[in-house]
Amino acid sequence: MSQSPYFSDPDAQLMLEFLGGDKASFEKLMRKYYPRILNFIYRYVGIREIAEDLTQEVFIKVYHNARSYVPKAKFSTWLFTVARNVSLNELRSHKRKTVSMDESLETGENEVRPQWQDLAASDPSEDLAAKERASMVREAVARLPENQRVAVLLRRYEDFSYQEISQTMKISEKAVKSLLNRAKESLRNKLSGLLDA
Amino acid sequence: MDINQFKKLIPHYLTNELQPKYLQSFKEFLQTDPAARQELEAFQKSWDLLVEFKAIEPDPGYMSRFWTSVSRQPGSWHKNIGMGFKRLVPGPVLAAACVVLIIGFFVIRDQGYIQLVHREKSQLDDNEIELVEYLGLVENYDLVTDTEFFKNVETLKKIRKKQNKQSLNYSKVQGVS
Repeated sequence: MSQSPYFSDPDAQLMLEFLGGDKASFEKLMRKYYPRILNFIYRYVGIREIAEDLTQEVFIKVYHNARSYVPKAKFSTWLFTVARNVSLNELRSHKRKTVSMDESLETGENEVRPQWQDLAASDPSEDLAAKERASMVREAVARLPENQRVAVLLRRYEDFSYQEISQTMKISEKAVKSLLNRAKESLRNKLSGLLDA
Repeated sequence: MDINQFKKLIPHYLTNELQPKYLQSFKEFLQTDPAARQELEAFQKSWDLLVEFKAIEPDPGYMSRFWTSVSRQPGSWHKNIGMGFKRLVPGPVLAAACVVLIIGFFVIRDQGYIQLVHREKSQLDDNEIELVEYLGLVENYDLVTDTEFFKNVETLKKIRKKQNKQSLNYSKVQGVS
């Protein structure tokens, strides 16, 4: 029987060591990926406190379900798949809770969107123009449909290849390219105010 | 090529995936139309602008918070063993195994008792065996001693017989007169 090529992935090795009872290996994985998962979720859901909680939830899930990990893909793609699922569940439940109170959340597109907190307002070090620019970019990313947003976050901030994105999102590479192209067109239109300035 | 067609091809051009048959006309349009150059720059710039979405630093206590959460989850190792067992053994197989175990328990228990009786019996002589076998009567001692009930039944039968006899005689007398 041929062994999966992903067995040589150092992160997969750490995971296997953890399965053998070595908790230090799990801590190494956490130190490496915690900031990345935190930022992925933060850019996905838009609220820092929720991002912190969900990141904890992701690693707790990984800790308890480590035995279900099979190195048939890179560890990072598996981890980001878990992070996406946890975030998506959160946005769906958040939408359910808030729709009855705020009808404006009903977009008619059956889409889940982040609820943004005004982080710029809480950071006095940023000047006004920078705050506005950051706010517009956050808003543009938030307004992307969910699957386009995930593809953009993985490509732009995590530097994932098309293949890695397709494994994380469980879609074909062609579909990934199509999502990214549509997302780029959308971002270009939404950020036109900044581009013309 | 017009500007709308050009715009549609920009994302493919930027990822070096524009088909050769479009590449030449795309480049020509880019060189001749200033609006096309502006549009291409806007696309690139909008992608670059995503850097404005700044990263955040994790809370310094994230690791200790994680281990605290893990330790607070009760019976997590029991859950893992249970889940692992469930994955290995499907439900119907588990139910069948339980039935076999229960039946097996009773069979083994009875076999054990029978073997014990035989072992004890083998150590007795003939008189003791006879005595032991009659010991079964002792268990029914209460019933055996309660003969009053049977006595009453016999009495009732005698009374009924006597009554029948009397009524027969009476009917005979009536017939004669």
